[in-house]
Amino acid sequence: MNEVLRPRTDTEVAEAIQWAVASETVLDVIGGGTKRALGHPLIEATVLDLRDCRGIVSYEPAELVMTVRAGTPRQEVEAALAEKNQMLAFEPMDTGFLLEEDGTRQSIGAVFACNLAGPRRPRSGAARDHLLGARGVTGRGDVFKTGGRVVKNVTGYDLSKLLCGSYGTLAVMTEISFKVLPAPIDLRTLVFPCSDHGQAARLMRDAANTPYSPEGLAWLAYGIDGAGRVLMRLEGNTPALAERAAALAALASGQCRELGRDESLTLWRDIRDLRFFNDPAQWVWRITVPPFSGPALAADLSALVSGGRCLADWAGGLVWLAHDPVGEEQAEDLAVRLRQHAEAAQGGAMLFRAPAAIRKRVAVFHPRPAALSALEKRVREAFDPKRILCGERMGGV
Amino acid sequence: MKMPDPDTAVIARKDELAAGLAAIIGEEGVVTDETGLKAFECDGLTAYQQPPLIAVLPETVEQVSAVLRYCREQGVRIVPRGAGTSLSGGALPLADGILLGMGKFNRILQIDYDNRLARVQPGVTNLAITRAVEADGFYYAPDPSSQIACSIGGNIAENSGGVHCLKYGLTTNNILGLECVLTDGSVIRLGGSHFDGGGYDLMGLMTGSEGLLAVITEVTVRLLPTPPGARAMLIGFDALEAAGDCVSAVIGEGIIPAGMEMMDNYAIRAAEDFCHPGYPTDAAALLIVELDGTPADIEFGLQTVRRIAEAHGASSVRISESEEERQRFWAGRKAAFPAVGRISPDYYCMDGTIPRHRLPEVLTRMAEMSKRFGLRVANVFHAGDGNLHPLILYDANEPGELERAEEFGAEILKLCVEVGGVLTGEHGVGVEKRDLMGTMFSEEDLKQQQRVKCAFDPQGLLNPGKMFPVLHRCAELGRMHIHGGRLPFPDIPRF
Ligand SMILES: Cc1cc2nc3c(=O)[nH]c(=O)nc-3n(C[C@H](O)[C@H](O)[C@H](O)COP(=O)(O)OP(=O)(O)OC[C@H]3O[C@@H](n4cnc5c(N)ncnc54)[C@H](O)[C@@H]3O)c2cc1C
Repeated sequence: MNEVLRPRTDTEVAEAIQWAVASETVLDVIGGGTKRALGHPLIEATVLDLRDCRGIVSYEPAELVMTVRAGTPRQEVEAALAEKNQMLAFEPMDTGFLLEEDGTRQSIGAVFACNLAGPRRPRSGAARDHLLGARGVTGRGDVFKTGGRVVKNVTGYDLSKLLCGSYGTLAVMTEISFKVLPAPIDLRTLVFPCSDHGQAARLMRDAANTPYSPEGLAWLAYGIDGAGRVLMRLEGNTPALAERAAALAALASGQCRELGRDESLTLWRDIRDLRFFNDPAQWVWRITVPPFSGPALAADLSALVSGGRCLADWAGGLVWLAHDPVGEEQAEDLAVRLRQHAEAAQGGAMLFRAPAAIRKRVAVFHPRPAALSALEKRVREAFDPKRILCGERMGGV
Repeated sequence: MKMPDPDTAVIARKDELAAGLAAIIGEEGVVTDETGLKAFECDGLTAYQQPPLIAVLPETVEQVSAVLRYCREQGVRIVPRGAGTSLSGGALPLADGILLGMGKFNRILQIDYDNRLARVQPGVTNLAITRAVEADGFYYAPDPSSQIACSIGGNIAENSGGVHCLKYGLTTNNILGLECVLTDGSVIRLGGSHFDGGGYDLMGLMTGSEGLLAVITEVTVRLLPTPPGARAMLIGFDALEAAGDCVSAVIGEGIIPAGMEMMDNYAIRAAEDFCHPGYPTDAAALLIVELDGTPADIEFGLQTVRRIAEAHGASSVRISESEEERQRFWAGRKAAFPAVGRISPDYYCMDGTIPRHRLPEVLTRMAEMSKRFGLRVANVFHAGDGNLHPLILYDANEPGELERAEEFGAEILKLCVEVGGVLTGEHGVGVEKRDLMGTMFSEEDLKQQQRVKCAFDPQGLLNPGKMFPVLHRCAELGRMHIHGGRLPFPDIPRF
């Protein structure tokens, strides 16, 4: 059935889910639908479209808290915040460019459900660190809420953490409350020429270990336009920026140049959204590792694939790898080899972009040890025993 | 507060169980005598006391795993315990349960500056982590006032906060990985040495789970570089409302101080008498604001906050001129609990959070309640994030005063929920606030939380009687009520 259901209220969402449970229909839960190419493809599913669960419920800038309906476009949220000089501090990735979707359609609910944080992650956290509470409907069809609307809250289990990064497989969020932060007064970027992975790792470590630690630390490495370079983003009030910039430049004996506000804004958006990966045929992996190992792993993996392009964000802790496609037969083998390398560096790899046929065949999320995966399955069952919410999007969990 | 009915059959088997446990971890790790057990009879919520049936003090993950498996086979309940400083009775033992003391897990396993992390055992104290790395210019950010004593495992279980959480986050924002043991004895690793590895965020779920899901046997925390400098301000106000407005205005201007604490006149005077930090004893409210960072950062922050404070009618502003003076400004705040303890035989510390702008209203109503219950109350707040710590003064030797204090406390927490806040900001639900959970959550909300508990601990052996007012069986929670197969939503738009 290719029907699309567009509920407007929590009750309607619950009714739709109760029907899906009774008829064992898988629901493809979408906000703007721009992230449907993430995870394992859903074969037969009825779309549950949340675009009509929409609107800002409350926003109190002095409390640094906003409550919105989950289907609200991210753009609308960010525009309201910008009016008060505030922002989503975790800098969520806009996957529109990479997945060839219209990013302006993405919903705020999906931003939280996918938990894909941008360059500010090490300093300011991910969506998981900012979600204060949610209302939603479980895969059992029950309306529930968790958390609250205040920053400090330990009342009951923190189910909000589970919802972040669950890709819609546990519950449909209908309303969310999150923390926001003041936007930085000023910003600039230091650019250090650097093509050697060892040097990149040391430079980013040294910068992160100073008290002047940047709000963005990335290495543009292999196959990215121009020569390799380490980038340091500094945010804050103007006099302090000068002080910090001087201290950080000294780490490389002043071998760097400086970009101003506008150039910086574009550059860090490009890093966040991977606009450097401009060949849509290439597959993309998202690899998380202890940061000091990131640059070496990037070098290592680039050598393993053809047409490898790499960048390391989060001071090295997030490696993005793009490479030329391989045949369906070789895909599993490639995934195994990439994952061995990632594991050797104590990390894990998610297949972020590849044709649906490949994402059907290859484990998209990094495989987990048996005891952990059994526990994850039981957690899924606690919310969605019939596995009707986004079916096998996260694989077997 | 009623605990689950003790299982007399289990109590009758004490000797047999003690022998079974000794076979796993050796005689020296099993405490069965009355005096030995008395040491564990309460945590920081001293009004509740109950010695455990047996205390077990394992030293290795293998032992924890074997002990849990044994308890599951034998149907014996388990209460994990770190340092026992919980203020909500989270570590209160059960008459028919073992107390699993994690104190012997006291080693720092690895310090890795390349990746800015430390891997430690759960019994290591919060402060010991910072002590181990501070000479190298690093620290562990969350700083509960109990940091000398409380364990990092307990911090995870309670998702503890401290005065610097406004800027640097709570425990949950400062950890990377956990190793835990489930009641079936399986050992699982969550997270790792990096961020956001994908899969369900079970590490986030474990944080703040109050010992009800699994036993934590290892923690990987983030280390942060120590800020190059910090200065604190003391700002006095003639009215609490003005102080509250000032806090909102500072944040509204885009300044996130490293800490922003408020004390009322009662707390100010108690602290001043106790350790003479130089507080303005005639002020109705005192704000302590700390700015950290580079000299230019600090200067910018200080000037901005001063301007805002003056615009809000501050009666005094003092800025610390030396590190020694900064420490002194804080000493009074940090000693607020013992200071209040000196002016009253007993005090009861509450922990609700409210949206900051409701502060004046909440304070007014608290003052009314104070009159009605005939008990004094001193207030300290983590003002930056709306977390209140009203301290209710009472005398346990006066018949009925403890009960009145508890009733007063419950009213305060209900008020917090009524104005859009929550029952607990950092101390946890434990036994203390268990029966108030219904004021914040519906039956269904609580059932969903318990379904998650069932995924970890299907027999309900870990720390029962805490957090949930009503215990349901997992089989009952899992049952689904399916409403027929027809489309019950004629009104939902379809396309
Ligand atoms: C004077 C004083 C000041 C305080 N100030 C603060 C403050 O500023 N901020 C704040 O947040 N709290 C504060 N607290 C409360 C308390 O210190 C914290 O909750 C602390 O985290 C408890 O740690 P603990 O090791 O003492 O845990 P315990 O009291 O032993 O246990 C607390 C809970 O954790 C569970 N637990 C302990 N270890 C483990 C483990 N290894 N695995 C699984 N579960 C476990 C227990 O079952 C229990 O539910 C204060 C307490 C006191 C007495």
